[in-house]
Amino acid sequence: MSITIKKQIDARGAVCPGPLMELIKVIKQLEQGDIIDLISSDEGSKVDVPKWIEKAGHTLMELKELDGYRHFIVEIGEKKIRKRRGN
Amino acid sequence: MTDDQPVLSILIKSGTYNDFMTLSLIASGAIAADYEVRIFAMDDAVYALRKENVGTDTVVHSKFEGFVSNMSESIKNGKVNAWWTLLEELKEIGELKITACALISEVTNTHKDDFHELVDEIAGVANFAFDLSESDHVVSI
Repeated sequence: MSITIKKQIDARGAVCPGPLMELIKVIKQLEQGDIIDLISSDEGSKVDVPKWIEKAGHTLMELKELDGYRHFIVEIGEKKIRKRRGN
Repeated sequence: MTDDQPVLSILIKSGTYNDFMTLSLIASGAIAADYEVRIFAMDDAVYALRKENVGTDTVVHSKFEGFVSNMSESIKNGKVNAWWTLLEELKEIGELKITACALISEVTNTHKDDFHELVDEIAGVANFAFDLSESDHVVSI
């Protein structure tokens, strides 16, 4: 099955929390079902990004380990609507 | 799907670059976890948020020279985002509010226009107490 990458984010060189913040920003702009390729050389992303993807209801389709960086292929899931308290 | 957004309140008293860096990193983790973040600045932190200080003070404090040189270099070459850049980004992608303590603002003669645009309002401790009553978690720096 071939996948179509809607947006590639090259966050190599950025450290925590840069790559994750870039991913969140892009997800806010795209739609459910769109696929993103996040490239990160940050060691913290290895743990943080998959955990965030799962908690936020998206899908990590593939994690490719390359020499000094990783590709996180992410499919956007249903976006949650949160109700703010007070203020 | 709709549910209540959790709230993290952060009290910051220190005005050092290091502590504002810590503040921005904790806030980024919370925004990533879909929290609303409410920051209340007191003491030195109020002064650090004045227009003339945001974007200019990049002095890293540490007793370890290696830490100072590594951090300073990373800030200079853009590897690490400055705290004000990170907070600006967080305001774009999530719910983040910064309130400056009314008492400290008054005694330092700091009015709303004297603050950097990151600061949303000046309010008293009663407002902070109200924020606390709605918070799931509170962090003090």
